[in-house]
Amino acid sequence: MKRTIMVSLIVICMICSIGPLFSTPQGETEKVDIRIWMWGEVVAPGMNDWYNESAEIYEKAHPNVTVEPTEIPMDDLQQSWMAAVAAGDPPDVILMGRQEGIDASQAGDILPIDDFWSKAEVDTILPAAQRELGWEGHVWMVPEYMEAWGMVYNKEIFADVGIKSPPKNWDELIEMSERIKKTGKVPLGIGWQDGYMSPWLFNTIAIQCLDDAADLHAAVLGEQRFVDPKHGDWWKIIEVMRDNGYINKDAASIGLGEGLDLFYTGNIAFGFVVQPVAAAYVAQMGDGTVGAMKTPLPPITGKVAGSIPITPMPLALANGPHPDVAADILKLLLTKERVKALYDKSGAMQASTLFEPGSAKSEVDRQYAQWFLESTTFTYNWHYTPQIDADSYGIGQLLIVGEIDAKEAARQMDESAAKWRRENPDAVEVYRKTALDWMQHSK
Amino acid sequence: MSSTFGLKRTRFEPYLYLLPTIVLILLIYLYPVIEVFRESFFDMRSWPGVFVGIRNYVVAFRDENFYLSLWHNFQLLAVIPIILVFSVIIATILHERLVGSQLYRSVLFVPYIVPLVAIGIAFSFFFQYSGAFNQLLSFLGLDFLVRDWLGKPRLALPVVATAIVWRELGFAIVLFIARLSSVSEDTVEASLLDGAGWWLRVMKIYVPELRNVIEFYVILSIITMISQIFGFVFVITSGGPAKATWVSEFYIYQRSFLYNDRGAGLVMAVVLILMTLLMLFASNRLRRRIGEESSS
Repeated sequence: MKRTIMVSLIVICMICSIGPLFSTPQGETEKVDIRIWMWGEVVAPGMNDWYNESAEIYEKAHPNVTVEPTEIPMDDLQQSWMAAVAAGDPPDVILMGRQEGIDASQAGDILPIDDFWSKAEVDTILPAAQRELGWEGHVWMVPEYMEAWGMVYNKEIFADVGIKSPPKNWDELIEMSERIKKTGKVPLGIGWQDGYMSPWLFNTIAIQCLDDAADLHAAVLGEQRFVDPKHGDWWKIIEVMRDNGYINKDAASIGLGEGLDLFYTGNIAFGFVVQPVAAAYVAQMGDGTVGAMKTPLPPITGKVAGSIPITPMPLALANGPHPDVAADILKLLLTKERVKALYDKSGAMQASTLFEPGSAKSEVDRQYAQWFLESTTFTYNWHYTPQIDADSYGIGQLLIVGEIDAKEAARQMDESAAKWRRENPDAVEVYRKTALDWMQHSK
Repeated sequence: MSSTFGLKRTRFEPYLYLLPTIVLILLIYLYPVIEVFRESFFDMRSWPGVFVGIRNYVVAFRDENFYLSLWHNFQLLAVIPIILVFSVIIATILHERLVGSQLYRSVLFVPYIVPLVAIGIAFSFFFQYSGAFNQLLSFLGLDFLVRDWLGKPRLALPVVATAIVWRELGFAIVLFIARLSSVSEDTVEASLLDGAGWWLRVMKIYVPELRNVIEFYVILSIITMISQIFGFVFVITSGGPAKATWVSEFYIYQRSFLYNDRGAGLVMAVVLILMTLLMLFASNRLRRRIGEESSS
């Protein structure tokens, strides 16, 4: 009896040990569902179509895999992610900001992409974007698409008042605004009711006063001050524009989206944009009406001035059951064919070396593609904290309605940073670590 | 004594029948509240959180924005007397069989059944600088009254309050009419014979009769103003301009999800839950008293 049991055990062990040799590789036959959460169409209409087409392509090549892109409203995405993590059922891929990504990586909720991609594959991401998406020696996330920050102007309004070329600095823009205002047109169209305009202005105007993101890190950490001229003087530009009536009167009671839509009316001379928005303007109004310009230089400029700030909207790889499959899908999204398809469908360019500037369809896009080749830089509002970001919404609103002046706006920013440091000693240390990491990476 | 299945019936048997429902109710309603209390002692930036003792409480109670938000909640309590005065007057008029009163009742109740988000969007468009309200003022030659209603901090909260009054009025009217329908017609007729005017009837008959319902409605409204107006604020003003319309619920949302600081947000939620429970306790006592009075 004992012998029979022994023989049976040996046979079972042998079967178990050679079994895997005959099985198909994991991931090929096992049914795998990959969920991607993003906010799709808000800035780049056509994005959902691109996602769905990409999912179909992947599913066709991998019949055992189902890819499910889901659009979640921008304001709800982060809280949906946190709830899903708490429930132990996070999506496999999630769109999130840099600071949220750092928090998630500290908690072990996301995995670095360079654990799954080869160096050559990672290097298809633009260097400036890699820098934004990396910390602690890893590249953690990949770009979904790229937002490049700048401005547009209405060529017809320019022609009406005899302006030949876009302004190079804010003094010129203010002088032009006076001429434009006299024709009954509105020089600058914006919407600040939801507050998002504040980070937009950080990403376009404030950033040009800095030498590097390290300046901003220093201000957040209290080593520099938001009231220092380098950090706070740029608010005066908005104050002057406001006091002279160069901004639409309803700026405080309409949201960012409505503010962007004002440009379509043809009554607005200047507007702040990210590249996909500029592409949408061109698609509707034509190259003959829409011109692209870099944000004019503020009175105080740092080394960043003149570079195009880019935001590689980051897709992070969740620490889920199939990170290898999810990483493989992300690889597909950044292939040359998909990069081109993204541009064709949504007008959004990719932060990838595989994007061909020659494929740009409009004068505005060709201009942007040219600027990308020249010089790109970081995204301002990715380098302060969510609390300062949220506070900046209200500070900008108070300035635009005339409740405070530029000096007070700078003081309130400084106070917001101090409050964050006071309330979050642990988070300050994490921030300090990533700030140091950024500086070392820069070297 | 035997039960349906031949088992001996005990005094615990009814509770056994209720057990599944009780467990379900506890799971659905009580568990989340207990979790909120428990997690308020954790740093919840990541799941499952790190125990930090009372640190979140210290942060929350030192946060002047939380008090500012609560102050806005208390300012909104001012809408309750406004709703009360209007609803009592309208309810008594409709009660006294005004021609077409059924139609008026339905129309006045419509705002209460319209989704909050729809009301919020309508109000935000209506009160925008270039919105219908300012256009109406200009049309009437009242340009001097044109304001940036949503853009000015001093005006934004009153706009939210207006939306609340507009929506809540219908519910109060229906509630009061229901109570007025049980007022003795003899009393009203006697007052008419004595020559009492409408105002006298309102003050001497209807308001005293409505006293308990009014008290009940006031407590319900206080709960609403303290803990159920997030929707109005979120859709109409997004909390702005600046912090002008931050209310406690909105700030809890802001702190938890925009500041990514759920710990302090949870403490504020605990405070809000306790305040609401206090109001519920008062409401229950009042209901019991109403029941006792009506039975006597």
